[in-house]
Amino acid sequence: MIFRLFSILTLFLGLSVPTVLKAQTNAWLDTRITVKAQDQPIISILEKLKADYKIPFAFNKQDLPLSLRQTLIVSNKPLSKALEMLFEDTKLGFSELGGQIVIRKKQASTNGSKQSVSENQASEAGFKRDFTISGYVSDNTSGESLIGVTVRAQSAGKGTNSNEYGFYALSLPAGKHTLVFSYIGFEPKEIDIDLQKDVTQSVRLGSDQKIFKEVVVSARSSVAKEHVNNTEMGKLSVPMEILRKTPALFGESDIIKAFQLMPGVKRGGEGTTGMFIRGGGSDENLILLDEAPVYNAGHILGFLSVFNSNALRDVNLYKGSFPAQYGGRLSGIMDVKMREGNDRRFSAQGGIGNIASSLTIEGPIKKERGSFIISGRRSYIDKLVKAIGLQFPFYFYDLNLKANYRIKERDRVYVSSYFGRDVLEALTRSDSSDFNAGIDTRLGNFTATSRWNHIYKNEKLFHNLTILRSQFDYKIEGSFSENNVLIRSAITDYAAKLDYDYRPENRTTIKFGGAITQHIFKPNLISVQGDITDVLKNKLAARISMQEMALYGSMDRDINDQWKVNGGLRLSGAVVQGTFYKTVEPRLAARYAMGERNSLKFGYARMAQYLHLVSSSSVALPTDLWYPVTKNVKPGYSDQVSAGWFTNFFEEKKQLQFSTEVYYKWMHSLIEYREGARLILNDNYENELIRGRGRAWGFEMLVQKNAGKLTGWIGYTLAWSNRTFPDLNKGETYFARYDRRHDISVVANYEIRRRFSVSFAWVYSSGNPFTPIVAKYLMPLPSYAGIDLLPVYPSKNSHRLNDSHRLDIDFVFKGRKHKRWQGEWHLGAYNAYNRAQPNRVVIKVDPNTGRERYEERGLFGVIGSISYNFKF
Amino acid sequence: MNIFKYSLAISCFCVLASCNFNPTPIPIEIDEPAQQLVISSFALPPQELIVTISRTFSALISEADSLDLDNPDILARVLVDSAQVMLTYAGRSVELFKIAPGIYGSIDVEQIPGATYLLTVKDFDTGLTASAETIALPQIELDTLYPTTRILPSLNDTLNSFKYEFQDPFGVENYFLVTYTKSNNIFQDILLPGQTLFKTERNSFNAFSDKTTGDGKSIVFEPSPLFAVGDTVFVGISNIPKKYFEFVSAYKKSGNLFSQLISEPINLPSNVEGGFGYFSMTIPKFKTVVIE
Repeated sequence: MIFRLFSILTLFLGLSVPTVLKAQTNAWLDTRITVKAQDQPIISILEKLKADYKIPFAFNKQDLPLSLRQTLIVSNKPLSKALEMLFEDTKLGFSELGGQIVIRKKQASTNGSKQSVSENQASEAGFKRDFTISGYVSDNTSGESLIGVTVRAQSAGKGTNSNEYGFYALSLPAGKHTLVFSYIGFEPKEIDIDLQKDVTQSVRLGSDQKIFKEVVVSARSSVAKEHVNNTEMGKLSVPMEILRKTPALFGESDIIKAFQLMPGVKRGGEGTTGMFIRGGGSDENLILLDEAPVYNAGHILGFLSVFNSNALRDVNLYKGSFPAQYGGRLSGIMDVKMREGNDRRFSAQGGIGNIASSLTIEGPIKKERGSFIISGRRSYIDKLVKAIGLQFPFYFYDLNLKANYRIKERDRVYVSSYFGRDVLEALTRSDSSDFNAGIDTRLGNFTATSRWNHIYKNEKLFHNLTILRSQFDYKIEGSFSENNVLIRSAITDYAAKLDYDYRPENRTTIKFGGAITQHIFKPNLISVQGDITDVLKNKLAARISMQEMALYGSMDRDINDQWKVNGGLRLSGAVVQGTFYKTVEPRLAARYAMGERNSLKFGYARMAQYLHLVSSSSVALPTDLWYPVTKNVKPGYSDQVSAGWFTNFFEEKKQLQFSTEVYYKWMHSLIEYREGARLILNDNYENELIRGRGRAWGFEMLVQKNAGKLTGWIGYTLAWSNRTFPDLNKGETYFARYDRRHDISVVANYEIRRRFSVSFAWVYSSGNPFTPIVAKYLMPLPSYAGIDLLPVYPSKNSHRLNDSHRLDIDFVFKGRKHKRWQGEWHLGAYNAYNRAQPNRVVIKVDPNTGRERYEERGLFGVIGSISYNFKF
Repeated sequence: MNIFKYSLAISCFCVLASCNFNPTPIPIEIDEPAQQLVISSFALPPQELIVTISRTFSALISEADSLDLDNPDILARVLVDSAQVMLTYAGRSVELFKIAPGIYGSIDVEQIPGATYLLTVKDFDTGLTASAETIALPQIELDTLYPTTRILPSLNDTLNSFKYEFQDPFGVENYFLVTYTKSNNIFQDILLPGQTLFKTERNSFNAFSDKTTGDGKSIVFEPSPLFAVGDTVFVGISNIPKKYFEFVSAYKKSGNLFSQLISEPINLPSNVEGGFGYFSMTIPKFKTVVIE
């Protein structure tokens, strides 16, 4: 069924043009040439090609039969085809090595020989059938799976990439081949195989410090080309090495803060971890940690995210053109993968910072078969403040655990877990009386994930089976004299998920699968004792269950050299209170290549969301509650179209990646709150919700430099986002909360010396809209019991805060390596020129005029930070 | 210790010493909106009507200033001292006379159920004008009203309140306002946002809709126990139009510091053209209860 749907979709788009062109896209052998040479020496034809197309041929003249004259007439054919025709009746073979086309005499291959056998040789040998080689690619040093490794059989002109689980599969003609595995930062590895049947071959790549510069450039070049060649759009990645160099508040590297520096992702108020992606709300983003949803991604009211960078391996953020395997939110998907641990030796790394320290320990369970990693972090603001005689009884901690084991060559199992808590313990007790008052607040996430990866015997099919549990809960216990209050809420998910990755042939990748999630909401349990019962009542709100399910399928296919299409369909649904909601979510992404260095991309995605965060717009609290859709509250859905231009400049040396994207997003059945709605501890919150629609559109630009002493990026966003609710703002359209016209970010790291580097991040944002109190009036109470002073608000979000900008700096000093100990100091400054960042608006007396005025206040001025990171 | 370590130590000190948790605030320019009139009214049996008329004022007037109603500048800015206030209904026009700055009244206003009342105001000092239209509805009475006492067994505590009951007329969409006013605090306090965390005065009235209580059914209610033994409470009930119900319901949600922190911003609905507030012609029927 799914195949039929894909076929229909592809036909509908008029892109189903079967071609016989090879899938190879990253090599000279793919270059299309037109040549007309009749009865000429081979060497003359090669020199003509070299002159016309600057093809770097390498050959020994003695190998070429000088007397042999050939005729070669081709029009717009790949070089590989042309060379096959040219050498058809000769003993010459060709291959691409080190960026050159090497021509030499065919030799009988021997074990360990680097000579490749081309496809036509295999045909000559009579081995017409294709076989598949598949396996996992991992880091030789640590055993960590590597995502996006390029695997190429140069002579056959075929290649593929490893998926998010490190799985690769490549179908090749029977015979001998040399496979080249390359990945940025790793030494390329060549493997000779004699393919006579389907085989499983896992590969480990070494991150050799002494690898030649050219090799690094080549690997980076491969990544840069992938940036142009794939169909992905609206996807952001921040490598962990870059994240650790990016300046951060309190010196704590934070992946969400790093994404907030990228185009299309707007931050909330200062110090918050909320992300507003392409005009969406902060609750419209799904955050996954090893496949498990994380419902509250912030510590300390959101100043830091819950993600300890030492425990992370790979993080991707999707803001448009969503792959079909993702769904459940309208605006963004952040997919966080935890590290797997070193399966060769025990090691540790950690950091000591201003407000928190962390330690990560990893090692083999059984050498090269399994590994574990434990990573913990705790803040000590409470201890520091106490040391100077003050009270701030707040701390947080988190713990990441993960273990994996390779049962067989084809099977791997993983278990991982995250547990984190924010704790506020404030208790005042008077020794001289019975008076006591206190509050004890504990909130946090727990996730547990089990996964089984399996490669099927046909070597083309891979699955990832996931069973998970995720929970976010909070408990607030308060006491005041004889009064006691206990408030608890929780959301718990149990989910099973099965994802398949099928590679029937090298030009096609099919992904399909499904997921079912049982959500259990336990909102607002309130237990009260004492006089406070006058104001607050005991309450046990009904437990709500919702089953959310999804089936998806997608096909990524090279149609021809120009077109590559990824079409998908996701069928999602939710059952709640006897009502079944369903949404058909088509997904489409297409790439049109304009040569090797330029491509245009197009995307469309529909997303649906079946739960929402009930949160006041006045104040965002970690205790904001997630609620499901109900009979009356319908699911929200969004449609987004986007287009982009992707290109690489100075590919060989400076490696500048450039991309621009434009998007338009329609958001339907959005939830807002009635004017005057009170949401906190409100049982009938449903009565306070109203439905409306939103629009967002914009332009984004990103320039990234990934090589050389100077690395970093410049991002720019020009965006609009608005909302229209019939029952809000008199039905008139208004700007969304974080509608900011311009956002600019400049992030750079410069390596001054081998052991000394400096990073800075400068951000600029237009002011976001807000609704101030512009006037007041007096009004008698309806009961005549007094006169009240009431505020006058203008139309919603009609005013704007000032533009904001900020510079953060970080100096890194690397210590000398002592045996296995490697340390580095970070000295940083957040908000280096001390400009208030928008956090709140107050009315205060102007010290110069003595008159009252509106003031925008920030949380932090310049904040210095020192941290020491180590590993051994 | 080499020079690198000295440099590092000095740098660390400088970095920490440079911390500043109080960046200079940045002023925001917000234009002050034009002043508008604010109207409210109280109809009392048998033929009395009191209308209060004031003006909106800048949010930048400090709370300390606005508290001081003895300040003539503030009063001059807020209260309408010189205005023409006309009431038109059932083919009649009545001009309300000034009782005090900002307070106008008449003792010659017939209350005719079903009649439409149009109030027009012209402020001679500022030239501001406003008008409001409302309808008078047939009134009802409380059927029962009696004091209540509840004992909290766990704390051996006693809560005092009262309970009332009234009948919703069947077959008509009805909205009711019930007010509870202690005899000693009518118009005693000016309540300011932030003055108290929980303004108990918000509990001094309740609004009901028979859409939720059920058409034609009796409505029984016991307000939050905020009364002391010996309090005399005037309990007034009015049958009010839907628009006034929406105004009162929104009013109940707004106002105090807690509400402003956790609620969505709201401009109270109004039936005043060119201004704020609400002009009503509902005539409450009062009963008194002594808390025991």
